[in-house]
Parts: sequence; C-alpha cells; structure tokens
Amino acid sequence: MTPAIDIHNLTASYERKPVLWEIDCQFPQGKLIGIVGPNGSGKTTLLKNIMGLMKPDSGYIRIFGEKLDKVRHRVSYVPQRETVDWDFPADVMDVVLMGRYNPKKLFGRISREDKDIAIEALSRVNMLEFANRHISQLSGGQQQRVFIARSLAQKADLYLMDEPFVGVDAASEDAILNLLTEMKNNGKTVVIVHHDLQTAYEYFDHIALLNTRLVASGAAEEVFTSDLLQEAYGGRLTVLSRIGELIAKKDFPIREKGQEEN
Amino acid sequence: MNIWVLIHAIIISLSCSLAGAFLVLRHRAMLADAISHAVLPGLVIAFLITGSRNTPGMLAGAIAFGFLCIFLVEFFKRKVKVTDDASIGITFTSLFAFGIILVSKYAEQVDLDQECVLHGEITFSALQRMHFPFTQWMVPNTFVTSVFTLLAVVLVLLAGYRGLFITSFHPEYASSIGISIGFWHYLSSGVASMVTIVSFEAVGAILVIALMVIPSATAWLISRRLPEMLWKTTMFAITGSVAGFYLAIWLNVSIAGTIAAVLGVQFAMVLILKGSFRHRSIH
Amino acid sequence: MYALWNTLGLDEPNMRWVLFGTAFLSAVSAWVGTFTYLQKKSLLGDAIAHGILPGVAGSFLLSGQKNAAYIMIGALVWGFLTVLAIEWITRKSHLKPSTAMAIVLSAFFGLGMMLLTQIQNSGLPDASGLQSFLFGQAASLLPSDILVYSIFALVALIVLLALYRSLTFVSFDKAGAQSMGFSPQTSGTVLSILVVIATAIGIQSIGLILMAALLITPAAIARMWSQRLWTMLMLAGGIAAVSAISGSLISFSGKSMPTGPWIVMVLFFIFGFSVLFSTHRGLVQRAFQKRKNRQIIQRENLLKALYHLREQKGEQAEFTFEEIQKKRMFSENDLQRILGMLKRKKWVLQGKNGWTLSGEGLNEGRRITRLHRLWELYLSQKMRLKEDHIHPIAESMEHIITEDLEAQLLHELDYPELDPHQKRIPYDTPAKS
Ligand SMILES: Nc1ncnc2c1ncn2[C@@H]1O[C@H](COP(=O)(O)OP(=O)(O)OP(=O)(O)O)[C@@H](O)[C@H]1O
Ligand SMILES: [Mg+2]
Repeated sequence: MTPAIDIHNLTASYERKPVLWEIDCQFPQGKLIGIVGPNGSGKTTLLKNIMGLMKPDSGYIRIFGEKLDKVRHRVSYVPQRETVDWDFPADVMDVVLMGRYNPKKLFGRISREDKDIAIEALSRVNMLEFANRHISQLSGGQQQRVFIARSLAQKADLYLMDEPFVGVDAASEDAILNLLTEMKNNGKTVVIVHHDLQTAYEYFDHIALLNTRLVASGAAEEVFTSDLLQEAYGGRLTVLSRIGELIAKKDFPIREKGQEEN
Repeated sequence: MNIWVLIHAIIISLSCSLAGAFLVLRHRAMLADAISHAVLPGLVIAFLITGSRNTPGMLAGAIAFGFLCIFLVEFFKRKVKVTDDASIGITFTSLFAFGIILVSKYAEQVDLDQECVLHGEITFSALQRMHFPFTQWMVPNTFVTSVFTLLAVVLVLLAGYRGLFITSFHPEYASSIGISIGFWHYLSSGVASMVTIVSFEAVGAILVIALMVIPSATAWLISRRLPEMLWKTTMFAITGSVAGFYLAIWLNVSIAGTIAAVLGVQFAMVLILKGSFRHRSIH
Repeated sequence: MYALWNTLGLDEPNMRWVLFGTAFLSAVSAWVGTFTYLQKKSLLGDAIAHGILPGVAGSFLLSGQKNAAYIMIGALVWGFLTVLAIEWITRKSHLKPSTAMAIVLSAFFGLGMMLLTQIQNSGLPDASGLQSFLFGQAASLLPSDILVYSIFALVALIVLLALYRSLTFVSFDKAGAQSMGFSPQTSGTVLSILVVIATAIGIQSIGLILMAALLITPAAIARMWSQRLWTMLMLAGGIAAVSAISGSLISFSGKSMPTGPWIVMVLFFIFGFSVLFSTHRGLVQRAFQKRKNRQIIQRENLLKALYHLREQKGEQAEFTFEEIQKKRMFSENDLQRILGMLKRKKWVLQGKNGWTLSGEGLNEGRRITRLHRLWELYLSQKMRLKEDHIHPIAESMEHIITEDLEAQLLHELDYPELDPHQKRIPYDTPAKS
C-alpha cells in the first residue's frame, strides 16, 4: 500500500534558519501515528509543511502518493488552539460547519446534508448541547473538541492534529482517544503531534521521534528505546544549531545547484 | 440641501463601517489609519493630472497609493525587519507628509486645503448636482459615487461572506483547505482602500478611521455571531451619523468631527452597559 | 562658511533659537520613541498625538490665547486621558490594543475637530494660528514657547535617565525585568507618560498629525545600523535633530509651508537610504553578500574538483579544461573566469598540459574536501541520515563551516579517518607550511 504520507529530504526554515533538517520518513495508512518531541523541536513546522502552509527549502512530500493539491479533500488539518481568536463572533455550529467549506463551495449554500454532517460530528465529540454557544464560552478542552468536530465534518481519510490533548481533562482525553481509535479501525489514518512521553507509547502504533532532525520513525516498540528517547530529548545538537545560525547570518543557500557527482 | 448631506453621511458611514469590520476582526484596525492617510498623495497627483475632482482618474490614483501603502508596510516588515506597527507608522506618515506638501505647493490648482484634508467638507460636497443615472432626481455629484461604492461593498460582502469569514477567523485552517488567504486579505484591504478614497473628500483622513473602526468594534462587543455583528454595525453607523449630524448642526461645528465623537460615545456607552448584559467566560 | 550661515538665517538669534530648540525637542522625542520601538508599541505615539487635539483646542478656547504653557497643560491632560481610555477599553473588552487605539484616536480627534470649528466660529484673534498645531509651523515658535517645551523635555529626559536601566531591561528581557521587581505594568505606565510628554513637546514644530513619525522613524533607522541600545539612542537622537533642522529650513524657504511634512520627508529619505545601504540589513549589502557567497562557492567548488582529480590521478598530473568540466559541470565562461581569478591569487598554476593546484590551493582544496567529508560523517552518525542522502547537504555546508565549527566537529567526531563512503578524510600534514 502507498504510504499515507511520504516525506523526502525535507529541510524547512524560518527566516532562513533551518528548524527541520533533512526529514525523510513515511507514515503508513490506517494507523494511529504520533509525532513526538520536545518543545520547539519542529513538530508544528512539520505539519505545516505537510499541509503546504510553508514552502520547504528542499525536499518534497507526497500524500497517498500524490501532490497535496490533488488529494486536499482527503486531508484534514487541526491546528493548535492558539491559532484563532476565540472572541471571534461565531458559535460552535459556525465553526463546525467550516468543515464543509471548500474553495469551490465558498459561494454556494450550505445544504441540509452539510448541517446533518456537522451535527453528527458534534455529537461524536459529545458537544451537541453546546452547538449554539459562543466559542469564547467554552473551556479549553471543549474548544479542542470543537476543532476535532470540524475536522470530522471534513470526512477526510487522513487527519493531522496538532496537540489535540493539550488542556483536555483525563476523561475527555479518553473519549477523544476512543474516537480516534474508532476512526483508525474504519481505515482512516490519524497523525497526532503529542508531547507527553508517558502516554505516547500506549496511544500510537507508529511513532516519529523528532528533534530538529528525525531521530527515529517506526513501530512504537522499535522507537521507544531508552537510547533513542535519550537522543531525542537529550538536547539540541549544538553543531547543528550553530550552523543554522551561520546560514541565516551569512545568507548562504541551503542547497546549491549543479553539484559534483559523489 | 441639509437632507442630502445627512443621507450622504449615512451612506458613507455604512460603506466605511462594513468595509472596516473585517479589518477590525483581523485586528488590523490601524491599517485603516494607514490607508486613510496614504491615499492623499494619490488623490492630489491624480487631481493635478486630470484637473478635476471626483473622476475615475482620482479614484485610480488613490487606489494605487492605497495598495502602495499595503505593499510598503509588508516590504519593510519582511525585507528590512522593521517591527509591524513601526512599519505601518513609517509608511503612512511619509505618504501623508508627501501629500500635504503637494497640497500646500499646488494649493491653487488643487482646491483642497490642509484642513479639509483632515475633516473633509461634506457640506460642500453637496453643492454640485447631477442627474442620478436613469432617473430624474438631481443629486450631489459625490453622492452617486458613494451610492455605487456602498453597492459594491454590499455585493462583495454577500458574495464573499464565507471566504471573508473563514480567512478572518482561521487563516491557517482556510489555507489548509486550499483557500487563498492572500486573495481575501487583499480583497478586504482593497475594498477598505476604495471606501476610504470615496469618503475622503467628504469626511477627511482621520474621521474615516472612526467610521471604519468604531461601529464594528461596538457591534463586536455585543454580538455572538458574524451576521449579527454586521447588522449591528450598520445600526451603530446609522445612529451615530444621524445623531452626530443633528448635534453638529445644532452646535454649528464640524459634521464629520461630531459624528466621530458621537460614535466614540456610543462605543463607551455600550462597553459600560455590556457588563450587565453579557458575561464572558473564563478561558 | 559665514555666507552659508547667513543664507540659512542663522545670524538671526530668533532663528537659532527655533532651529536648535526644535532639534533638541525632536531628539528627546526620538529617544522616547526608541524605547517604544523596542517594546513594539510604536503606534501608541500616533494614538496619543491625535488624542491630544481636544486638549490643545480646549486650552485655547478656555484661555483665549495661544500660550505654550496652557497648551502644554491641555495636551498633557488629554494625552493621559487617551492612554487611560485605551487601557480601559483593553481591560474591559476583548479588543486588542491596536483596535482600542484606533477607536480612541479617531473619536478624540473628532472631538478636537468640533472644538476647532468652534474656535473658528468664535472669531478669537489668534484663531488662525491654531492650524500650526496640526502640521507644525516651526517659524511661529517664540523663544518663550521653546523654553516651556524644553522644560518638559528635560523632565522627560531626566525620567528616562533615571529609569534607563529598568527600561532597558523591559525592552530586551521581560522576564529579567520582572525578577528585578520592575513589573511590566509599571514600566508600561512610565513609558506611556513619557510618550505623552514626548508627543506634546513636538506639536508646534512638527504638528500632531505627523508627530508619530518622529517617535517611530528615527528609532527604526537606528535599529538598522546598530543592535546596541546606547548607539541606537545616539543615532536616533542625531537623526531626529538633523531632520528637524533641515526640515525647518526647507519649510522656511517656501511661503505657508508647514514644517512637519518636510521633517517627515527628510526622515523618510534617511530611512530609504538606510533600507538600501545599512550595514546591518541593507538591501545592497545583502545583494553584495549574495554575490560574494556565490563567488566563494564557485571558487571552493573548483578547488575541490581539482583536489579530487589529484586524489585520483596522482600528485604530478595537470588537468585540462575538459577534464575539470567532466568532474564538475561548470559553464565554459564560469570556469574560465574562476580559473583566472584563482590564478591571480596564485592558488592554481597553469602548466604546459593544463591546470594544477599550488601549495596554498592544495591546502584550500584539502580543507573543503575535509569539511565535506566531515559533514557527511556528522550527518550519518549524529543525524542518522542514510548514506545516499548526505552528499547534497554536505555540498552546501562545506562552504559555510567556520574554523570554530570545524574544531567542534572534529572534537565531536573524535578525529575520524574515513567518511561514510569509506573515503579518507584528508588532514593538513604538519610538515607543510
Ligand atoms: N513563525 C516563526 N518564526 C520564526 N521562528 C519560528 C516560527 N515558528 C516557530 N519557530 C521556531 O521554529 C522552531 C520549531 O517550532 P515548532 O512550532 O515547529 O515547534 P513544536 O515542536 O511544535 O513546539 P511545541 O511543542 O512548543 O508546539 C522553534 O525553535 C521555534 O522557535
Ligand atoms: Mg507546536
């Protein structure tokens, strides 16, 4: 089977300073996949690159073997909760209905069917009773569940979620996890950025350990060795961060054209 | 004649406040400040070239400078790493200063003076009359432009409602489903520039900001959903301009200035009263 | 020299007062502006400057005369009101400070406009002079006005110096400042008060509409040339003073020319110049750097190619143009140019049968090759990259690695012998000089 996500030699930077170095890995379909790493290790950046929200310096990504634009309708992205202003004048239903938008449907009407899908999504995250509540009047965990409901309403095959368990209490975390497992059992692929090591091993089938470089990517039991964890959490490689600074400061290209054969 | 001035004020305040709503929602209210200053040189230059006011040439000139302003703000931010608000400040003060120099240098030709740049001349704008297209009505020249601008704003709002909504609320999500944030960003800034320009002569540079920002900010305080906020915005724009207009006539002071002040008072009242109506949750 | 002095009008004492007075006032505003710039609060100055109008017009209406002291008091009062109103809105609602600023700025300015038209209707004798507060009219400054403004400027300056350390801390290191017992709120309030004063002192020379430029632009320019606060302050003050003087002089030359716009134009001119030529982030400097980088890369690539050829074909060999091109794709022109350049540097020698490395060129070629192979080893050992992925990265990193970094690499990799492709990593033999 083609991998759900296939990342080739991805290097990505902010203001010319690389924060991801040569990431090269594949995520299988139909699995619960965790991207794990310390703060600032580039997890969000990796998702952004997968979703085409930033342009990588080198490398490319294939989703179900295709370029993103061809399969965009099959992919759903749940950004971190801080990416929106929760005081925006919108209620829960407005946000979930956004899951039914697409570039072509921006001008048409929202159909009865779309509404039904949104309602179903809300009930799957146990938020139906809040459908008409203003989004600022939700707890952090509830806001997170609204985002997940919107994502469910997209009816995608691949889900990318950035820290969906942050600020969520234990009971809701279990509920969400059950939901995700159920999605997996229906053949969906779910990729989750997570930074709690304690739970990562239990939750995920496949884990990618990240810390500016890819430390390991594979079945949970292969990756969760103390050596590899030590390597991922044992701090940045100083040489790597120093060269990153040099690249930014001296304005050198990260890749050059016309290389000598090895 | 008074009634034309009032109607004109209402129409201008409607288009300004609706166009400004999306700047406010994006927390870019100060961009209204920038654009409203930056169009001045465009107006003057176009006037010097075409030799008349209220022409498509003048519109084009001002729109060009509106976009130049937005472009320069981004350029200084990205390429030279000037902080965001400093970039806005540098750009609009410079463009406005350039405009003022032009105004004072070519004062005779331009028939705009420094003060009128600041608070417009809504009463004079009612003096020249023409037929409203397809009718027998004699209406002020500028009135026609304003009506068509309002129509354009409403049209963009209706057709682009969902795009504006999603890109203002959650740009990251919007672009993840393949919606171009840039397009909608430039569309809303473009509409704001257009509205600014059309209203500039009537209400001046700084009061345009009041019209663009205050009604929608007031409405935001007491709205749960976007459509609600938009219709409340129009309500506050209308009440503000009607009350401001009559107060100004009564006191015999600047109409545009009074409207702005009244809008401010309206905002303060809503903010004070709001506490007793609505409870915000703890996040 | 004296003639210039004369034509500039500097022989008149009144003129000297005006010019040096505005220069001083502008410098103080720019100093305060430097701190607001660093704290990313630049537009606060714009909001306050506009919000001051009712105070200026009100004091005129009450006193019936254009007196700097009264105007200053009115301006300060409304300046504080503006600050308070903005704070009140941000505290009471979910609106962001920038929205609150736009609201207060425009509503207060509207109120000021009402008062201004009231003054015009009232027919007070001085009424026309009020225009000068909008766009500035340095020529209308009397020595007594300057004295009043300067006293307030001095107060601001003293506060600034007294709190210099704390303000610096807050600008650069919020957490550190807090641990020193200087809370962001206190510093925010102090800074707001300073901005009010800094704005009020400039209203007669620059005018309140464009006052923001004097707080923002000099600081932004200074930031482009320096990263140290002290230097930034010196630069910002100097730029503000120079712009104030030259702007005033330009405006004096034309009749009914307001001063403010000219000062702002001069500032913008300096800003534009800095955007192009600043040593720190200037566009020209960056373009040059890019070009230089390209040259370094080409030069080093050629040296490396020659070194590789030498590794393969033996030390005595000379290499033809075609052989080099076969090793690495250089365009004909490029290759000729780079060879010429290296020949002038005496890093390559042109023999009968082709090109060869000189002693120095050899060292350089060896260094590049070593860095390339070290980096490949680093990638495969420390970053667990597969062997077929490491070459292209090393191709560009070899040009970037400095001596320091090389030492650290060597240390971390423990002076390795072979790279991941089992090629020898070449070191300089100590015997060679
Ligand atoms: N917009 C940005 N501009 C500059 N640098 C950024 C930007 N966003 C992130 N970075 C830097 O890039 C690095 C990776 O950030 P990223 O957000 O991907 O980390 P993360 O793994 O998601 O961290 P967290 O667990 O805190 O969410 C960090 O060092 C961060 O400082
Ligand atoms: Mg993150």
